[in-house]
Amino acid sequence: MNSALPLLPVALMLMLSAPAFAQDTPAPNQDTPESDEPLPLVKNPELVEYVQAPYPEAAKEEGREGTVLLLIEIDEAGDVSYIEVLESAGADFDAAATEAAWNFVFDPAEDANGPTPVQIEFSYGFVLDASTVEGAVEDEQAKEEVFLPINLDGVVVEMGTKRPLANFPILITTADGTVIETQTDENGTYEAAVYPVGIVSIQCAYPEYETSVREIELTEGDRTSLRIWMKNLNYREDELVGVYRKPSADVARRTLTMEEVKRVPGTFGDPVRVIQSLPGAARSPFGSGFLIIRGANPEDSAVYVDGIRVPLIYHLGGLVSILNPDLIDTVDYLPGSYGVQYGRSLGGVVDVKTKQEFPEDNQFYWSTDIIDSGGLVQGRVGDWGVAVAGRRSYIDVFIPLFTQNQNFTVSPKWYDYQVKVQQLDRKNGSLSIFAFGYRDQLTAGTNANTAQGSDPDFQGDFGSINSAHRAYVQWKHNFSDTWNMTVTPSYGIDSASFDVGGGVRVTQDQPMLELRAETRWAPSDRFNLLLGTDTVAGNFTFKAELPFSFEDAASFDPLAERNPVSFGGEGYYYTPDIYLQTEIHPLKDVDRWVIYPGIRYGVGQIWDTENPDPLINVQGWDPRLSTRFKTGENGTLKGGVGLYSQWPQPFEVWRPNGSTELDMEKVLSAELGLEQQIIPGLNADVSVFGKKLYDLIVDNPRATDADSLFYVNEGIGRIYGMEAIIKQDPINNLFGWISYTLSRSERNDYPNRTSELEADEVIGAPSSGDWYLFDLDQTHILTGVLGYQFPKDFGVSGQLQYVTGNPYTPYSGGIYDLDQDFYTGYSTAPYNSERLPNFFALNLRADKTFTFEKWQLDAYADFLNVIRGENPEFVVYNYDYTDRRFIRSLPFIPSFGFETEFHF
Amino acid sequence: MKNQYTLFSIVVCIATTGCSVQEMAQTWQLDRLRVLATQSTPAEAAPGDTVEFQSLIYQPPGESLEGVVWFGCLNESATSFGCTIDPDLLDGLSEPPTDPSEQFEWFTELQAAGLLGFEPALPPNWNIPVEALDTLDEADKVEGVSAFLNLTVIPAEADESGNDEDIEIAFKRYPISLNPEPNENPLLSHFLVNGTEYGLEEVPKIIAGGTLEFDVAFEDGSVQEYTYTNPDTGESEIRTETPYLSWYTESGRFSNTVSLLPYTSIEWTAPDTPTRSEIIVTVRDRRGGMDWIRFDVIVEAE
Repeated sequence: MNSALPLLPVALMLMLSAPAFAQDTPAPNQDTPESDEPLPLVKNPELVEYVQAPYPEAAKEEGREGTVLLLIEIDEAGDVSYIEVLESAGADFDAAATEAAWNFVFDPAEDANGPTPVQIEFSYGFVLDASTVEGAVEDEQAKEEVFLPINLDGVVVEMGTKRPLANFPILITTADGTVIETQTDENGTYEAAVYPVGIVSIQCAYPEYETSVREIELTEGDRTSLRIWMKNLNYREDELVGVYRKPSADVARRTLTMEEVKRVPGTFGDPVRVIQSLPGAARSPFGSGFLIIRGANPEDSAVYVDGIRVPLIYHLGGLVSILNPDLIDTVDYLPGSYGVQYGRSLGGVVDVKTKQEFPEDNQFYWSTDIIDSGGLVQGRVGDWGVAVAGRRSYIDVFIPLFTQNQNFTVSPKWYDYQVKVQQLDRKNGSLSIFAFGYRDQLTAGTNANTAQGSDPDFQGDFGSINSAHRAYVQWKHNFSDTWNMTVTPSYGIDSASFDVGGGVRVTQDQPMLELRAETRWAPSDRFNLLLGTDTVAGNFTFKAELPFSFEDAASFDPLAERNPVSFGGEGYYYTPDIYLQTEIHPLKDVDRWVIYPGIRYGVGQIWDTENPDPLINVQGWDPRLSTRFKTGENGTLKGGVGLYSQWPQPFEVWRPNGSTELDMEKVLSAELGLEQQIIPGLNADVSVFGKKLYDLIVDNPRATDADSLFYVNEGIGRIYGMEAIIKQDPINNLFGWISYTLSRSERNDYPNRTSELEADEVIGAPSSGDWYLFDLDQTHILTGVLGYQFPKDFGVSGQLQYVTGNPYTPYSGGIYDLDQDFYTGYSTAPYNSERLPNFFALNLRADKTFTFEKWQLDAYADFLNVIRGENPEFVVYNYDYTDRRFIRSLPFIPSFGFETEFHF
Repeated sequence: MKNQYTLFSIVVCIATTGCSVQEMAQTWQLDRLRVLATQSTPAEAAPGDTVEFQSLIYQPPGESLEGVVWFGCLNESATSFGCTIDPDLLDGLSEPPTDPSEQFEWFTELQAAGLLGFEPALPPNWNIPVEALDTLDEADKVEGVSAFLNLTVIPAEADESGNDEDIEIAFKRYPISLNPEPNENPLLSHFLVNGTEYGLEEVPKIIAGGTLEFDVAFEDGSVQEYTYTNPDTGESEIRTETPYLSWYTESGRFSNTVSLLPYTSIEWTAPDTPTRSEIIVTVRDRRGGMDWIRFDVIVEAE
């Protein structure tokens, strides 16, 4: 068809990129008052009907070419309302171009109010080529063909993330200075007819992106594709979201989003660790990551992944979580007063949610630091999103460097994996499959020919292996606007084994089926109903080998002959808990007040196949009530009260003969708080709480042999305090928070006993019937986090911690046991009656993101304990308890790491 | 109370406590008056037998010992720390009654409380009560029970100042049974230095800062084989003792506090300055039997 074009008047359009420019140049007939500030355009005008000007005969015969620069005003309807020749190419060219331009039709420009008149500059070129000299074609079809030979196309994508960039303007400058503009569509693609061909310059500029300028050569008859990479000047700006509260029945729920918290010092790049900087979370020894939430034992807090309970959230030592950080979407941290969806725990809850969205391109992440390395591949396969991740530690290589002079080595190793598949674009819901697991192994010991104490039964190394695997299918469906359902069946297996010097060996396997299903019915915006079940059933097997029998242990006579025993158990358990919760909005202003009454019914049994009686047979109702009331636009009053029950720990539920006669441990919890926006971007959250613990499981002091009850529900406890957080949202690249917790946690193991009766004679001992401080009670916990994002993707942050020292029991001396060659310390002060010096530490972090065409490199340096106090974690006494030293917490630790992100 | 510091915390604690512990006095350091071992003859007795006791007390040069008070009791009148003794009776040890009649009365009360002796003036011995095993059935009588011995080591200075902080308190179990093959004390014959045998009167020499490997030799038959009959099942088996050694030194340092079969040797690093250092090694057979030897090492300048 091109050959039929004897005359090729090439119209070179210039639709100037800056819409403001078009409006800054007022049209002669425009009535807009000068004082009116024009609104920015949200859409540029687009030429939808082009009219070709006839090549002036005289110019053709004379071989003249030229370009006319026109000023064209386009009205709200897209019609041309005014034309002015800005640069003349000769009267004949000017007339032809102007006449043709009057017949152009545009898709009008738009601002926030809709279509709006604008002015544009338009270059109308007249060019002769070989074909045009042969003849002229005037028919309409030929005219259209003239403007369709697209010879340049491509896509504009963001460097590093490979994300397509929509509505990005592109300026193309040819060798003769002609400028052509186009822009990307919603998929980031663009195309243009660029003439004359030859070397052309292609420029793409956009706010917050580095301008890209490329030169390429276009050849006649060829179509060239060019991918343009745009570097975002600050990738992190969109990522700074952080800690926020999501209104729900969980009064104290704090939801963490990943990108901000990953940059908190001391987290080793793992977002889950930031929980320990939030109110209610006590400092754990050696930064080990134990969840000590609101004065509860670490084992009393529950950990979930997408609602499926897992044994632990951190690998050995608490340095990193069991999930790849890039697979985590949010972390819900619930220190107390949570809803009925969560149960079987007295302490707090941590629920890690994995990502629900998958990128359109394929992505590969790789992270490496001094602890471990891991990778993640995610993308799409057909209608399914797929993510595969894995990680392996190598910290065991470094630890011997620090312990080589101590004749003692520690070797922790771990790995984890995750595979997630999710159906995309599923109508009215979603379907996903997720499998994940981990394995932690720890060995410790001395050299082979060095005695480890004097006991011949414990001369081997210490070793432990813990592993857990889970696989679930999650189906979500919206039956209607008012009714939805989520069903998550899962299968899992937990295994644990440990070997204490070859003398004590225990192995345990626990496969399980779990069903979490809930349906919500919301007939109106003032009422909805949630009904769910949290059912777990499975079986267990364990085997134990001990160098001494229960009777040997009870007699505690080191001169007596030992009788090694080997025993095991096999059985099954089930606990079909159900829960019901309503959401009531009593006022017409539905957002002002919401009440969440709920109740959870917990029931469960554990059976040993060799035992006619159930080991555990428990049931109970846990009623809970929480509420939120808006005190104004910026304040919310909140409160909650509820009962929480917890099963016995695994080591407490077995007995050789008969039932353990154990009931669930219970806590009555109450909380009252206020959320208040101080100024935009600065929010405060203050709560007071109290917990009454009862039926706590403690050692049975009357146990004498294997037929005795090993544990009894005699203990009680009380925990009370307040917690507060003031948080600066990420504004002007600044983020941070100050959290403070004031609390006291106490226990009384045997409240019905007195020291004068049957308990130990040592006043204040846990067995005496007196109140004593919880081992990890910390009166004041103050944490400050501050971070700043500089340009060029460079960030620094700091974390300051001040925490009251843990309580400990002082010893005054020791009594020498001649048979066992060691001293037993005796105390003249009550149990946990003294405190370690306070803890103080400053951690710093600096990170920088480097962006390349197809990948990004995020490098960081984490400096733990840049400034620190004495920071004792424990008291250690000398051999006869006449001298003591504090074991200091972790020293200054520089940690370096990087993460890469590839798109392919 | 559930105090579940997880494994890693314990291990990290152990791994990081090494330096702090080494800053304090070590159990192998002989730097104060202390009891290191006792020996009972016989090592295991039957009801009605008479047992003689002796103690191994280390006295630093220049410090004198007032004495070692021995008490004994059967299991039913003991706690996990040994015999329960009226503290008022013990107060009299530092300020005995001066009136002869009160003195006699006090001494009678002490004997009733289980006083066995007061080294060195009154060598301790014990006539094992004939009813010691009466509550046991015949099978358990062979296995026997453990009675308790309590020792209070009183330095001479404690009497003068009235300060009892330097008093050392120790306790020991003593097996009483009708075992036809009663336990005997292990016996150490001599010591070895770098694999070479030394008589107890010989004194090895070493350059300051140097290291030696010490070991001991047992008398033949000293590590016993014995028959153990489980009183619950009636099954019998031959068992062999697994004695272990505890090492002490006045100067220098040991690489470990104990050694046990099959690696009974231990490394000793001499102090950096010339001296004469006493080395004491005790052996326990885990059935109540004990023995010890003492020898000196001369540390010479380079």
